Amino acid sequence: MKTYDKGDALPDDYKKLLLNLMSFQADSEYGGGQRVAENMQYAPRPEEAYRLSKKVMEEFGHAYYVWNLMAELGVDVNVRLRELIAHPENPDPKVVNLINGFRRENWAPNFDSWQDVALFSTVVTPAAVAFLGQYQNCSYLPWARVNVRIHKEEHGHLAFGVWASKRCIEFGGEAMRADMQARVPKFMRIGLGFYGRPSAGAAKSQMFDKYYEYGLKVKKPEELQAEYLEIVEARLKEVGLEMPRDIEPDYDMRVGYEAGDEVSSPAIKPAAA
Amino acid sequence: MAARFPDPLVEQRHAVLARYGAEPATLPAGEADEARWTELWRLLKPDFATADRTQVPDFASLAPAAREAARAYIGCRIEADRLLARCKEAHSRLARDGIATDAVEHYATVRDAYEDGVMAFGAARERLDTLLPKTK
Ligand SMILES: [Fe+2]
Repeated sequence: MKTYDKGDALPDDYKKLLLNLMSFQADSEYGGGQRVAENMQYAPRPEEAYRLSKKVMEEFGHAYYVWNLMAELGVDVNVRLRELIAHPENPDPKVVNLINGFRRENWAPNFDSWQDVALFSTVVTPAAVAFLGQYQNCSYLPWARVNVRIHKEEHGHLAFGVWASKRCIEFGGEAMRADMQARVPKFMRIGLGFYGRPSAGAAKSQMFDKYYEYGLKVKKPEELQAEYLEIVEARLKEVGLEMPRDIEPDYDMRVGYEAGDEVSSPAIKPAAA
Repeated sequence: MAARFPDPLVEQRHAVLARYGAEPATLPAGEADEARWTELWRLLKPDFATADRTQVPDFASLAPAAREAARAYIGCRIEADRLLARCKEAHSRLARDGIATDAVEHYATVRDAYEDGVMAFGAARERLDTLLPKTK
């Protein structure tokens, strides 16, 4: 795999694809932080509220790391931050590459309680961490290094989900456990769709081969999905919940940066209801 | 005036912290300020109302060791608020002056400190938890 470091000349086509993925990561880290901030309304107790606030700050920090690299490549990133601040609910897709799942209209219906917030971190976050984890080994070395740093910080997020879910049950008892079990499938659909469509077969993603060839994506959706299922099963078990079988992935939510496969962001199709 | 996020949505959603006494971020003036400790404890005690502890004592009814641990716990919350204010300032600087390496690194440093502060608040909660009686 050919790699590039800071200051190296990048082939045009490579640079275009790289910036596309980087912008999806950065813009979505920030937009995701804003969604997490909205969920503070569900925090039932002080420690929960502070821990969620801490998570918001971390997501913003991840955006800053990646935006800073994009700025080095000549992108005006301040306009992206300004757009997200000015229009948090629906930022202009011509300005920012926010994944569909982090647009407010697609995100908010998944949440009506703190247990949803806890389960999101238990069931969906591992998919994000595994997905973004692959960028640690990508061919653009400055971005790979930033993702090593982000990956370390994300470790705390994984622990947060299990902690928050266990606390729900500690306070709400068995009735709460049953309530949470019933909420697991909706989040697993999102987690399973995170990686995008399989790398082979009829549903094959158009752009995947190109990203793979350039070393910008280094794992196949199937590998990431297997990794994900293993983590999620272990975490649900830790909480005392069961992993449901035969859940159909929801690819249209594209929480998983799969939208990054389409290079022109204005063309992103709206998520299925 | 207290620090604010440059992002109005984020500022507005952080208002939830006020429920637990965030701002004014000052410790009561010594142990004698019983009224203020009592009030701050009242706001935070839901943190301890687990299924097996439906009644959490008022500040006045806490045993001496628990009272001491409760003061430490309240102090951690106030410290977390102070660290959060520094994050807000670093965030404002990025929004105002633009994304640049030194400002990003400064943000990372104060954010790390806030993270430590929140985790210390959690550790203080756990310590206090072992000192509070269960009600069932
Ligand atoms: Fe993140």
